[in-house]
Amino acid sequence: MITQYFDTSIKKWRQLFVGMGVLLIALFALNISLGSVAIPLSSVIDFILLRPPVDNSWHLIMAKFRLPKALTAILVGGGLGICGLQMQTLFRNPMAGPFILGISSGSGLGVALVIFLGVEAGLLFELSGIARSWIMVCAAALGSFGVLLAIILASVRLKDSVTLLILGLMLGAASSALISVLQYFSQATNIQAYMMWSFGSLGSLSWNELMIFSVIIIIGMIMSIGLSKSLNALLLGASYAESMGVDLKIIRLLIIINTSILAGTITAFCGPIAFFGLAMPHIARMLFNTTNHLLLTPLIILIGGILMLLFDTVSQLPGIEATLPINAVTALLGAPFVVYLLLRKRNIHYTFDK
Amino acid sequence: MNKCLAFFCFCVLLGCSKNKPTDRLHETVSSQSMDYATKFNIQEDHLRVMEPWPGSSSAIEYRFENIPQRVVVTSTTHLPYLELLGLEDKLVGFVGANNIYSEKIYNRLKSGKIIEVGINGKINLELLLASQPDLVIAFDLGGESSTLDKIVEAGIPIVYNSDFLEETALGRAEWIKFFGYIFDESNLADSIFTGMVERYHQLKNLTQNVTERPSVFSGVVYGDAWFLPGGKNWSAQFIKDAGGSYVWEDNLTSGWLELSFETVLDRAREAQFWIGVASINTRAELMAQDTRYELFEAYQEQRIYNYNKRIGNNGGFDFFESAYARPDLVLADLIGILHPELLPDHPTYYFQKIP
Repeated sequence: MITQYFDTSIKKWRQLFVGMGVLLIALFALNISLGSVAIPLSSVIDFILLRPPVDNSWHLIMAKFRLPKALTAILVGGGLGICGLQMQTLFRNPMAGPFILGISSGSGLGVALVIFLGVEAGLLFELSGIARSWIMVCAAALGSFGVLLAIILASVRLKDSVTLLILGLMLGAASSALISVLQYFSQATNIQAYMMWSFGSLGSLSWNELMIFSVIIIIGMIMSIGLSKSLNALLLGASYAESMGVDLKIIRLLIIINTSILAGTITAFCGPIAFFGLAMPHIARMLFNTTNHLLLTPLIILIGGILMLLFDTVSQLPGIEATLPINAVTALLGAPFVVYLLLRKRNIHYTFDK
Repeated sequence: MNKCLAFFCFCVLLGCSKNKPTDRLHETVSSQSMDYATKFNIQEDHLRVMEPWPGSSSAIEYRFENIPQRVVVTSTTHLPYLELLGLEDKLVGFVGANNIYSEKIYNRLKSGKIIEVGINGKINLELLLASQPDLVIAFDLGGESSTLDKIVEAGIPIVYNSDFLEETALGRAEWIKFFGYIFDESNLADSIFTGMVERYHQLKNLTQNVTERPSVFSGVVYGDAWFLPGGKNWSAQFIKDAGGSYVWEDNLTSGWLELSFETVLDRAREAQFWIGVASINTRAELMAQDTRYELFEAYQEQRIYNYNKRIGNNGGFDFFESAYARPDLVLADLIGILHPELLPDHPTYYFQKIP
């Protein structure tokens, strides 16, 4: 009976999800217990079990630094992963990623404007009582949503997704050029501040910022799960999707808005985290052998979180006082992993060949 | 490689012209090694820069036939030496005018006596030629600046100043003798420096017998990295000489440390003083950047200082301009902060408590 196979399949997937969930929690605990400051395991256990702390400093480090950082890592990993997945399906292109539409360059331009020209503007903001880290976040968000607006306006006019892609690349190139001009005329300290931003950072969110960040990202993730069915239809081709009753224009618009909000927010708070969004969909598809977005979306949220926690743990270089920028670690460890999977699978034509 | 060759030729050229019968300007100077500076010294008839740029293993020798009359400098840190020696009127060009604090020099720039020959350390060759210098005093962070080669090609002599490679504050201040030699003001430079060293040691002696050495840390976090001077950095030496104990004084780095926030919190949470918080001017601004700064005791006790007391009308920081040339003032400020009872009448010069 076919329902029998169906049941075993459901059971299999359920086991996979439970296993991934356990792995996520385990890595979460590992991430919190490891860092530049060596904290004995007993203190970590005390912290996790909410027992009263022995050494206040260790407790503070875990509560104020490692816990928000670990939560940020999970949200960033999952969020960027699903952005990449949606972009790859929308553009039917395995090279697409969350930043393909110029979103990261847009927020980079916003941040560059604040850092390089923002002394006067910054003073103005300070007088009005807005915090400086929020100025950076707002600038990045404005930049990426400016690009988003241009893309949305274009997507209403343009029928073709590839034209949209090229438009995104052009916007990205123009923003990058403006950033170079700003950099050229700037002082070394400002250039360094911009560079630090472009390295990406998971640990700079305080609880207040994390609150807002997590609400936006979780809304984006729920929206992504809602979009999964239409994405499955898109995978089979635009005309097929239309024949299934998918309103192509609306769906395209929703996907673009969804990824832009996710990628734009992540870039605004954590800087441009490279590579992750591009690689995560490939890793998930190759590991789990499915192209069903109803499964892939939650799987990528989980495995994105797992890998980001892992990369962040590595970037903290446990036991050493220095840290590596997260942007370097994601690509450094992620690329060999993707290459390994590619060599094992021999091709990535699982999705886009007809 | 190219650069080395160019300089070799340059030095040979200078060397050849030495034999010509000219009035020897620098004959009063006898060979002397520097007291604190290690990157240059003055020989009988030439100036020798040992490490013209970081990592360079070959020294460059400079001989001067005439006293330069029209000079271009490339760093704000060169300006205080000229000012101390009373040589502002020899300056005809500068790179990056919006960083200048010195009012005297800025006014000369405004009245057109000094030309801005580039912005932010990048020399524009055409503007440089237009300022008609007979000497450019330059610095090179990497030994690869191709603009500097072009300047040599254009026939304008360059002297490399590598004062930023000095590992001690007094060593860096001693570079006043470098400027003194070039402009034939060696005696003046010597006496200014000797006075400075004397004042520095007098101040240092004040703290020799302090029983309590308050702990100090500095810096703020950028992204995920907190930049701090290493334990052998000259700013750590300042804190020690001022009768404080730097939280990372056991560290062996002479450069800068790049630490995570949690490491700094772990070590410096109970430190008494937080000195040098970049461009931050109020505790509210600190909170705006990261609320976790409040975990530091120095924050709760309101013992946070920045070095922004002297900012020019056009935004230049005097600390970054003249502090290297005035280690005595920096030390006096730090003693005034850490041990106010030792210098009761000293209003700080560069540093200020942030409200």
